Amino acid sequence: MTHAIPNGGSLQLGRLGHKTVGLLLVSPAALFLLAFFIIPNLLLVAYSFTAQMRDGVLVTGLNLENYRRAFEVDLYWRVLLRTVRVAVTASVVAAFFAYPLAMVISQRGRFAKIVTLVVVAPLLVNVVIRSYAWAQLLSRQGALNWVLDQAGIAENAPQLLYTEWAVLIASVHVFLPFLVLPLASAMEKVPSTVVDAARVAGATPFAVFRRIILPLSLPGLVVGMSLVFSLTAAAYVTPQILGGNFAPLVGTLIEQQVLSLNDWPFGAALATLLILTVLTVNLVFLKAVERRTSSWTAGARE
Amino acid sequence: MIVRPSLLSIVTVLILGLIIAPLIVPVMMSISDTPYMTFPPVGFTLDWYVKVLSDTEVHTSLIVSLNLAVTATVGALLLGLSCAMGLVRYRFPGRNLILGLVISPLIVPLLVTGLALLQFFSQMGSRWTFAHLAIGHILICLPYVVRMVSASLLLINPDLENAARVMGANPWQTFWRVVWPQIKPGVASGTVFAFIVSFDDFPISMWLSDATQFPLPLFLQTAISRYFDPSIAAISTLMIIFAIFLIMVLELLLGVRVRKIAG
Amino acid sequence: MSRVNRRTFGKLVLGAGAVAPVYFSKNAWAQDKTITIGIWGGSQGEFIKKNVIPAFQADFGCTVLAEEGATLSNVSKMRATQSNPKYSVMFVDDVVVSLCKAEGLTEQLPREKMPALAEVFPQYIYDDYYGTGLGISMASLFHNKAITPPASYADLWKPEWAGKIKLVSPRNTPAMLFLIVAAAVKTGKPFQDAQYLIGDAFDKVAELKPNVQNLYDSGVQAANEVAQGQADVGLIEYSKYIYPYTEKGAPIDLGFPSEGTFAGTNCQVLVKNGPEQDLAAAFMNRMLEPAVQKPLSEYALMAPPVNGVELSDTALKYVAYPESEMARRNLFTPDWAFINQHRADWTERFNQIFSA
Repeated sequence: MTHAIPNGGSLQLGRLGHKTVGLLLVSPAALFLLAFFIIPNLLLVAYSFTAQMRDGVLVTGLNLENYRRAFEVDLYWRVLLRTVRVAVTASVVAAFFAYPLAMVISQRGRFAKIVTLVVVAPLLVNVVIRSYAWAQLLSRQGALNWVLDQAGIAENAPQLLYTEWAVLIASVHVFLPFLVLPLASAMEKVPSTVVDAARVAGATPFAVFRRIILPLSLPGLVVGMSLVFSLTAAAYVTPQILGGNFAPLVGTLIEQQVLSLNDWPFGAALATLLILTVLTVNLVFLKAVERRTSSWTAGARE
Repeated sequence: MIVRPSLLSIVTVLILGLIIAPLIVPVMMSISDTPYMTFPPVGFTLDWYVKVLSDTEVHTSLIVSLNLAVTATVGALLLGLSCAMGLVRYRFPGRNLILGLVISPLIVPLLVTGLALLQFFSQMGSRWTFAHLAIGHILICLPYVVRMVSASLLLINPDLENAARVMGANPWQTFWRVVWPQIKPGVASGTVFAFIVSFDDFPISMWLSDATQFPLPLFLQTAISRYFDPSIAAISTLMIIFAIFLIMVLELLLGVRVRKIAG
Repeated sequence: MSRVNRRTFGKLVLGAGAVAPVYFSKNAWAQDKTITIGIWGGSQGEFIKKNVIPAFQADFGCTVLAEEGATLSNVSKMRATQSNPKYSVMFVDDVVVSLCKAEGLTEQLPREKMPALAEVFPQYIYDDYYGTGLGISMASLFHNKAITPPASYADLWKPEWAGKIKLVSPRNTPAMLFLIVAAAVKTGKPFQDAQYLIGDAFDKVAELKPNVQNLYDSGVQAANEVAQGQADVGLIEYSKYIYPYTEKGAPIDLGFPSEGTFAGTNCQVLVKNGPEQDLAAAFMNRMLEPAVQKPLSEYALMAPPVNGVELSDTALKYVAYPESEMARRNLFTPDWAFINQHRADWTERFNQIFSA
């Protein structure tokens, strides 16, 4: 997210200097974020280290008890692991679905427009409704099994609803647009002359994809995959409706600790772990691919 | 850069089918003339639509959601416009920090931000639920507004602004005559998107709402666990129709490129 | 809470006491006041939101805001707002009435302001007027009408039920009833003795896992899915979440295994230092009046906790009412004080078995 700053394109307000005007313009938003985003989040993280519920009574004082509990009771670390597993799988699976769609979109034209609309459409349908719709599709007497039964493929197929699979399928569906669109933007930047040149030189379509499109679309892929990862890991509605408490993610546990069990400090600790997980995976992801992109694209760009 | 047109098209159409299929199921279930939900639907009735549309709770939640979305959009625009101008057109110390700060609400899980705000407001002893919700929603709309306005600002040739200034226009005139007409599409898409983000928000509202302010997405979740009959499928269908309507507005009226929404 | 209001209220009560029923002609003292109450979801909550509250608001010129929630979250809300109370009345299960009193979350009901208390059966007045019953449900297993329910809970552990059972999640009170069932099945003892042996019965709970399709949070949703045939049996749920749909023609019914049936009583409590206590008392009184109890009981199909309600024949098919019928059914009420002590620990163990 770095913008090139054109020289001399700025407005100078009266006697105020260039820097001052810039700071004045950004300060309302910056102060708002400081007051209502940075400070509350820091307070929440701090709370997880300074408070603890002991037998329903709030005890304050610096301690690591909440974190000891999160890692000692297998329930909590297992749910954390599941959260990471589902989120990673969702972003990988989404990538497979996203490539054909993004390629079509990047080619422009009427078909591309229709594809864009269909990809974006679910984004405008509330996530509660989308998850609920999947529940109706995946249940034992649901639409999917009905179709399988009618087509004579499988009778009494087991239900996918209330399994980790259901959570995964719905997460991919719900968050797919966040991967397709950045990917399509990245692909649009691939100059068609490069592709044509490769074709003329006799490259197979697969080679064109592997050598040119894939490397050049990597930045879009990384942005999209980290978005899908973050959104899936922090999801509450989808696992709640489709997991049936058999496959809860961390979000569900946080809600339970705070709203049902009134254990705010432990809820804050789980929230802190969720922030850490998302930030770490995002960073690792970006760094790892950044290195590869630079080496790959170095060849492709020239 | 087509790999193999036919194969790619077939795969694409299949995936599009997968994307749309789950949205069709509730539409079908909503017309079932049974006191409970079933697939495939049995018989035909529109009773569930009548029931839903005459439900005062649906009305109340809808009004809350609309109020909230308008407030959040206006708030995010007020903060976001000047912020985008500052970020794109000026260099100042800490600029990169501010850039990071502005997009950070998208990185920190919303669920956590909502909880943090709830704790923050309750420590302050504040009881003004609507303000809490509005602040939370402005937080999540702001990054999109800044990003979309910045994107359109970057497309403007700064020489035009220079030219206007050289020819004696004051900063306000320069803004209204030169900059504004060109960033209008960016502002329009920022507005529409902020509205949608707020209108659909669940993870922030789930912590900050109460009985006086109960936005529609939360009502929908309550409805799933409350309604035994297909009225929830009817609500879903209405929401899907509303989404299609939104897409048409985006495409036809604003001429906004829909894909900007998540790109 | 201004003193003038209390005094005015007292006068009104004195004046109105002579004129039964207790509908004040003009409840000017309540005009423009607002109370927030916590209620349950399901058909009972729906009825209260759509019928009871609008009528009460019209009579008193006040505003009643209702938040839906389960017992545990309602208790959490009271705890979270204890220093600066926001709620005036909370609906909770009988389970926690004494717990709320012990934690200082609730207040004794002002008997002089609640004339309807006189008709409440004594067993549904809790902890020396720290709460009253609102409706009595039976709690048992529910099943799709197409299948024959098991004669004994013990049968549900057999492999033929694999993946066919919906189990209530430990957030909900009936999960504790299920733990009693598990202990009873393991030890062969009656509920009365089995409830003290739950701590050793978690191996039995774990044995049921292969047969469980999911843990449900919403009784209504689970009932719906059983009606659709997604699962054959659900356990354990209050009759108020099942019978209203049976009556509407959904293929679902309550089953009564030989081990016994539980009683589940929905209660109301007055929040300590909650806003507008007089209005809160008036609302709680309204909830106990036959004019509310009759339609509420007939809608949600629960037994009224008050004497002298003339229920329709349809309702009488489903509920244990009047008192003689309650006695005949011999519904079991657990030792909630004992169970509450262990609930947090049991909830974690329950979650470890199913969610880890």
